Amino acid sequence: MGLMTNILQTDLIKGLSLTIRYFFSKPVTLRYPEVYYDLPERFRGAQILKRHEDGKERCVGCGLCAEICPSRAIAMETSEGEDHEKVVNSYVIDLGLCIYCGYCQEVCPVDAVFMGQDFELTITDPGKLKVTKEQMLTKGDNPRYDRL
Amino acid sequence: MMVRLTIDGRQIMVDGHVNVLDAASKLGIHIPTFCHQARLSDLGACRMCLVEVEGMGKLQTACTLAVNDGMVVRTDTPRVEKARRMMLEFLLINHPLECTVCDASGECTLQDLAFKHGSAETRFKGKKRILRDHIISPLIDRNLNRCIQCKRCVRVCEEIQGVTALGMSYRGAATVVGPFMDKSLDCEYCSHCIWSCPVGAITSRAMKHKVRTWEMEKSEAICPYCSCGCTLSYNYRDNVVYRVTHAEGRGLNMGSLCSKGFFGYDVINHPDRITAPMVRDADGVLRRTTWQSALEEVARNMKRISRESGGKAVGGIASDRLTNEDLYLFQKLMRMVFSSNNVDTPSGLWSRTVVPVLEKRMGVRAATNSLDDLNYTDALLIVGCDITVANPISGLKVKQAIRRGGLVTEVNPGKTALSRLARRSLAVPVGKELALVKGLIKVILEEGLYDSETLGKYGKFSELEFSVRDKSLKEIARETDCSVDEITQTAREFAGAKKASIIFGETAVLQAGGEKVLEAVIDLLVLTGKLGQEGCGLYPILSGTNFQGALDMGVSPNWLPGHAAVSSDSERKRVEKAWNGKVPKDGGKSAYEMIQAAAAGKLKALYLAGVNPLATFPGGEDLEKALKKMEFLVVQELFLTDTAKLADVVLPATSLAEKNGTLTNVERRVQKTSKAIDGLGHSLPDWKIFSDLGVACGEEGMNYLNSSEVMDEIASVVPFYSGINHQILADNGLQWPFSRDDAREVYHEGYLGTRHLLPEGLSKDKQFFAAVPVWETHSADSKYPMTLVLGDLLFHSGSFTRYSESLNQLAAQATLLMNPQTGMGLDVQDGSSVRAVSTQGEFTVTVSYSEDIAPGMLFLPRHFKNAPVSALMIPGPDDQARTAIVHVRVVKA
Ligand code: SF4
Ligand code: SF4
Ligand code: SF4
Ligand code: FES
Repeated sequence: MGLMTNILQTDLIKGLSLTIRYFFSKPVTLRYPEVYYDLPERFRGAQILKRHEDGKERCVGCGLCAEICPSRAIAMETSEGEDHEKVVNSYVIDLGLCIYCGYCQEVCPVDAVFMGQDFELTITDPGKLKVTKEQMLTKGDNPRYDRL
Repeated sequence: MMVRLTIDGRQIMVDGHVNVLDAASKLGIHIPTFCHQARLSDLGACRMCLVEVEGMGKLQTACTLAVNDGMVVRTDTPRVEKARRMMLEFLLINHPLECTVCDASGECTLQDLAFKHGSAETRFKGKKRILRDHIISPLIDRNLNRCIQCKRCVRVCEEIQGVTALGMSYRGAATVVGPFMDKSLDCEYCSHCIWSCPVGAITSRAMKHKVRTWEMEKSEAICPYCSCGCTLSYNYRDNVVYRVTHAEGRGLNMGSLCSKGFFGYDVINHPDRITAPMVRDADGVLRRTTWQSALEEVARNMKRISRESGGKAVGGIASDRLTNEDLYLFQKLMRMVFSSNNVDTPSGLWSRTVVPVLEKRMGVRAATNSLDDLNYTDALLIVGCDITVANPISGLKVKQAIRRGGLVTEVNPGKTALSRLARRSLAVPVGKELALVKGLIKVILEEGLYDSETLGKYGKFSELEFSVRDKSLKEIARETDCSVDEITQTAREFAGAKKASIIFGETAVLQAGGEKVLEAVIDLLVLTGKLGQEGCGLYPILSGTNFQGALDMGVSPNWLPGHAAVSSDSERKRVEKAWNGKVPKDGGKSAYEMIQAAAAGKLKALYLAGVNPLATFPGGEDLEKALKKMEFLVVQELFLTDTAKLADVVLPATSLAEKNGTLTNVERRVQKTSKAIDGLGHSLPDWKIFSDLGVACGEEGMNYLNSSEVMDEIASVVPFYSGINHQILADNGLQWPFSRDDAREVYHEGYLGTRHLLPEGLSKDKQFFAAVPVWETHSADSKYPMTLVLGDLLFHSGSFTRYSESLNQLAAQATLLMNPQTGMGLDVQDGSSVRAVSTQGEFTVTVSYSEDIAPGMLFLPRHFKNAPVSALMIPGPDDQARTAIVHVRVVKA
């Protein structure tokens, strides 16, 4: 048996035929970064913040996300606003600390924070890993998050 | 009577007066409640505490149900559980579900109980009740929709604070809680309602929306604002103190606080805090520098001046807000390193006036009794003191006594918050307090109301009788603006009470001849036999936080630590031995004398730790000139005060929240205060600065590792602090004298020390009367006919709380209070500007009419910049500078 295979080189032919078949079929990899992969809906990338229809921020500053975050990546400052409402003065997520567990999204009672699709976090300045509220809101304005 | 009952199958014996709720908690069985709160009457309003009792058909409220022998109670049946679930469901019909932004979230009883006993669904589908609301005060926030009508705030305001600023109006679902007619809140801002509210209906605006409750850590400390010494809890996050909370059931205050203690914390993380040492450079500008170079600068100059011009040319004044450890090291530094006995504290004047009299007459150097005694006093005489301001929490104890039926008589130049509650409030003009006290003595002698034991010991009271003979009661009554009846009744009540005490304050002592009033007061106590027993004693009360500690630590020109006289060779030797250094022999100068010596060019270097003379010392412009003349001025402060701006070196110190140490309160209680946050920037605790400076001067004996080490040394130097250390003070502190082996009296839980001085009464050599011959301490001069009382407001403490934004919301400006009658006489209107002129100086201030102040008297708070009281106060040695009373002329501006 073994001898026949050796003589006829059937393994080689099998392998080659596979190569040839794939050579003429459509590629499965993407030409990143020219082309982007369609991320699954529940992909957990860098967080985004959402607004209400009228443009007001959804986040009410309850601090639950900061509390639940296992790596203490979220820091926020809040205060009393002009109409005695709660105002979020600053909201910073340190993406260097974040472990992308998605707890913040899970805990948010008002659907303000979501894990976004952004995964390109390679930077040269580590300070840039601290993302501010404004940056996250801008990301959240992207139409691809309209479903949220 | 003890009764036996069974709760959840477990038996317990309890006192027959308690209710089922307390009995259950003794067994460790927790019954959920809303409207019940320790120290408040029970109302049975919330019906959360329902339990099943055998033989009673309906469920019963445990908080109002008295225990009965043989009672069988169940707290864990399905029926009880169902009742709880339903009560919560009812409450949640209207309670908004805004936990996400509610500041009470995380410590809300409704939230907790809903989690534990509530159901996740509601069966009520209607709309929630929405009540219109408005801001009722700058510091206390009310949210009507969250209110569950438990009435705790209303009860605490009435039953503990005695203010009754809150009430309930309307009925049923429309019930609202708030101030009278729902106007803005006009109250003492004691914060009790914030503490009491089990939900987020009443909250503090000072921390509104700034932080969530669970983010903060808590640390217990002692309040820095008055000599009461309340225990409070600093709540902090990321080295910022976000609020103060009541340490429930802790301390002599049982958790209660006043406005200063609760809202005054914002000075701690104030943006204007000095965070680095500063030294004046060649251009005359204060520049930031390192600790090392700043300390070297101080060491070099202080040592040089002390060497060249002698220790007498160097002086130091430390605030009585500092801890015992700070103060002890301060005087050690001044005495041992800079060879000067010129050490004092602003409250030294009080100590030097009061303590010699106490010593001479009773052989004690502090209040004889505990503040807790005030709770149970039957008759109380308050002379020259607004206790609700000087010591607000002691004031609460007096209010409790009144609720228990205690008869309180106030003798004060104006009305106070107590006047409304007290038996009587006698508006006696300043200077006539003596006449009133002598009047009381006269009545007691004439009616034979004195104590028979005292009579037995003294034989007769002829001297005392002689001293009160030359005036009739009618004359006394006329002079003191009281009626004969008021005087006789007060005397009878005081003499007849089983427990009677006297509180004695600044307005009476810090006037010319104030000692005489104190002498007469002690005569009165001795005559009626109200000394040396529980509930009977004398409380000299000054508001300065650690004034007692400053005296004990020897921050005084003529007393070493432990009240030892500088002039005594043996005492000096003893201290020198302990320090392994030298103590100068000659007595030093008092604070005001130092300033005068500075003006005369005799004092060249001055070290000010935590004091701002320009705000609080007498002298006005003269004072400023004297300070500017100083060759070398060091100011150790939290803020760049007016005085600090004149300094050659400014050293950044920490607040009480940033250091460990002990404070001694007005009842001799030594308490430990603990650090909550790290010192801001490069600031250091005062004791550390003194220690480092001592070392920089080459004195290794000033080297300490921590404040606990300093306390160990204090315990070895101050006899009545022996046996005290930081560990033993962990719980509620202890009252000196204390030594671990003897004099130890344990009372209450965890309270140590000596509760009452003089348990044996006065010693033989003290058994005499002063029999003060005169009738008045002083009278106004015709050029300066008005008597101005310089005093405190409830909302501030010295000039330090000027930096508290919150307290400034309550009071930020001084106005000159005068009776409308006085105003009419002077032809000045309410709200008009006047010039107040004294022999020393003058300034312009706005008049405010107030019926609370007696005609002919004026009152001015001494906290604010707009009324620089320093300009009016007359500097001088102790017997001249009496800073509570100034005679002025008021002229229309
Ligand atoms: S949990 Fe949501 S609402 Fe709360 S702070 Fe985070 S993002 Fe804002
Ligand atoms: S405001 Fe708070 S304490 Fe007062 S009745 Fe309402 S829930 Fe009770
Ligand atoms: S009574 Fe005095 S010690 Fe107590 S909270 Fe008020 S200021 Fe502080
Ligand atoms: S706690 Fe008993 S009825 Fe409210």
